[in-house]
Amino acid sequence: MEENKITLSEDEKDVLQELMNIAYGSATAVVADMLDAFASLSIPNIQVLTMHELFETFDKLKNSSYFFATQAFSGEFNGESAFFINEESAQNLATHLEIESKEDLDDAILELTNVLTSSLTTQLAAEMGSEVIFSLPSIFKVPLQEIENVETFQLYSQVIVIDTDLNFQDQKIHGKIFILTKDESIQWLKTKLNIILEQLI
Amino acid sequence: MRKFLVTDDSKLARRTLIKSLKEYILEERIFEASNGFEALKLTLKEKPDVVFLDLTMPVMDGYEAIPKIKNINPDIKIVVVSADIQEKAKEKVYALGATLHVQKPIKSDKMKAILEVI
Amino acid sequence: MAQNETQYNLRTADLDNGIIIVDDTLSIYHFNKWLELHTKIDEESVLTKKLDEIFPNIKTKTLIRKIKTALRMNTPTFYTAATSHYLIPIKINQFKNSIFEYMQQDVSIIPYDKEKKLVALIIKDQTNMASANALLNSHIEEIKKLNQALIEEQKLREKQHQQLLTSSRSAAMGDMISMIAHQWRQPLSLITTMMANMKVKKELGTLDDATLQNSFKKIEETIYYLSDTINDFRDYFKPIKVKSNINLYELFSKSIFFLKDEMSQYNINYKINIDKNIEIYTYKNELLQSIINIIKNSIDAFKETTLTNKNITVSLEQKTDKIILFIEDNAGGIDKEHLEKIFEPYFSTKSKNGTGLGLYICKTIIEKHLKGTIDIYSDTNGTKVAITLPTLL
Repeated sequence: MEENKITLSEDEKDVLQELMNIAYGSATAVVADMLDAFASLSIPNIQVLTMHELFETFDKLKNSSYFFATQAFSGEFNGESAFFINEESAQNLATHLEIESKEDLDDAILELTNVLTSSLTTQLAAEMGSEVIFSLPSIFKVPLQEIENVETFQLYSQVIVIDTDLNFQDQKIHGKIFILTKDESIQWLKTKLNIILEQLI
Repeated sequence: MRKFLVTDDSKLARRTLIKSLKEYILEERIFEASNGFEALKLTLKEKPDVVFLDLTMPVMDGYEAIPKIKNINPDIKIVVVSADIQEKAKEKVYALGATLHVQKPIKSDKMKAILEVI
Repeated sequence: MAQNETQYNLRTADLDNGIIIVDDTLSIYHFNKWLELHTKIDEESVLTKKLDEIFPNIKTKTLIRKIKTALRMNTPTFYTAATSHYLIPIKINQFKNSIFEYMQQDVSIIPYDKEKKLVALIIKDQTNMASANALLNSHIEEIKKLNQALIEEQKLREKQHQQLLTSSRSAAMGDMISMIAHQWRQPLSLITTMMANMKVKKELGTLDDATLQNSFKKIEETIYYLSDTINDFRDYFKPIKVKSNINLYELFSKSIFFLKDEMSQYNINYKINIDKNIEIYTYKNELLQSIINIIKNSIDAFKETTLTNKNITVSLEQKTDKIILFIEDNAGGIDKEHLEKIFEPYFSTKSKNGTGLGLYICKTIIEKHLKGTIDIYSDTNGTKVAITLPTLL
């Protein structure tokens, strides 16, 4: 697969970053409403990684005992999202939402994942003027030590990783969401990004 | 004729904004900056009347730049163009002295509305 | 999602899913047939009432939050059976799903009418799936536990094995010390005697230079001999494992010198039928320990016999990349029932002093460290031990 390594040019990265920024702004507004809190936005980070490199990135997060949830999305633009939130943030989230049981907390984390994923991917597709239809996302929780065994991850050879921080400073809630999209979707994305670029010249 | 300064770290964001701005404004009256600090320098040098300003930028972000730009010219109009549409974010930029807060991206129709307001 | 598409989905979902249409204050607008059947509550009786009044188990705040989020984003939000178990309590009467008291449900909250702030709650029965998962998880837990126990047992066994090797080493060391003590007795008494002789001659004034020279020379030789035995002894217990070229003839003639005394004490003929040039590359001390063990077993066997012609013979057969060493005695053999257990730890036929570890350790060393094999044949005549070793380890 190495020889087919897809790269993103600086311009393509810039376009994607900006589109993601806009999508993320809307997503954050929804989450902020949901939590009745104010989030500080950061610039999304965009990389093309091999699965090996991605697992290394996940591995660093694993060490600080993160909760981890994934959600798949499909359509012309398809892939999977992975949301990490550490133990402390999860506790703060529980306090903030007045949640008492572990299961309700899990539910709230899945909800956060769902809100971020749906609103990010919907917005991103809309910004690219695509006719993408989103099927119902499936959502599940994965124990950290089994991340590498997540079956759908085995389907990827390289992924565009768009990672960004969810950061509620006052409530001390920090999370990290990855939007992973695989080979054909990367090509589709590249084409769309270039159409946007050409329209601006 | 008024002068305009467009500030955003994303080239795409600047292109998009300038493209719609050019429909109403002559190109030579439009200047570009890629962060808050450059915006400050250009505000001193080119003396723009309107500054379009993004919030999340490296070196100096929008929140820091607003009062500093206002300090140079209290009459300057600052239009915050951001992806951050949280109510709190809007309140914050208005408190700092922004004239307007609009959601990205700015296409032709939105630009027309903005130019009418300011 | 488009209105008519949503409605189409709702119609198809109507057959085997629960559907409730509520607004963002949880007022009920529709309660479908499926739910009527499962909850035994009529739609008529719940319309315009609040969902959380009908089902007090529902956490109002959470549900309203999910509904508002779905309306705001215009995409579905969810409850999953895996974490939330169920929204609408429906008792299960089936025996096969007895893990759960209530039907396990996946719930999708789908925007239905943005203007009126209506959402459709689609309730899917996931009890079978959840049961399968629960069963699977309990099995996984069990397998994990068993696996852990196995790993610990393995560790314990390795530790015990290590202890065995160590104790066999100290047992061997004890044996050697007594052999050396035995061996030193004669040279030491030789030295004592010669010194006493010189002392007497000196007092009588008959000590000439030649006698003095001769005596000193003899004493010196004897001391060297004592020193050599100590060196051999020390080499043997060196903790470092180093491979080297070993001349097999020398190994059986010189290196086991301390056994020769014992053999001559019991009138045993010790014969070495090995070509003097044959060498193999292996761990010397480990090989030596095994050989001493086997020869000592033969010597011990003779101690219990009344034979007059006692033989221990060592011979060798050369193959392409290995050699086979044979150590043979005519001490009457080993009982068949004992033979089967001879390589088991703590097996001993010796009434006293036997640790029962000797041959077990031999086998372990030869197989694990020297990558060879050991076999034993026995009949009423005697016993033959065959050790196969690689020539280059």
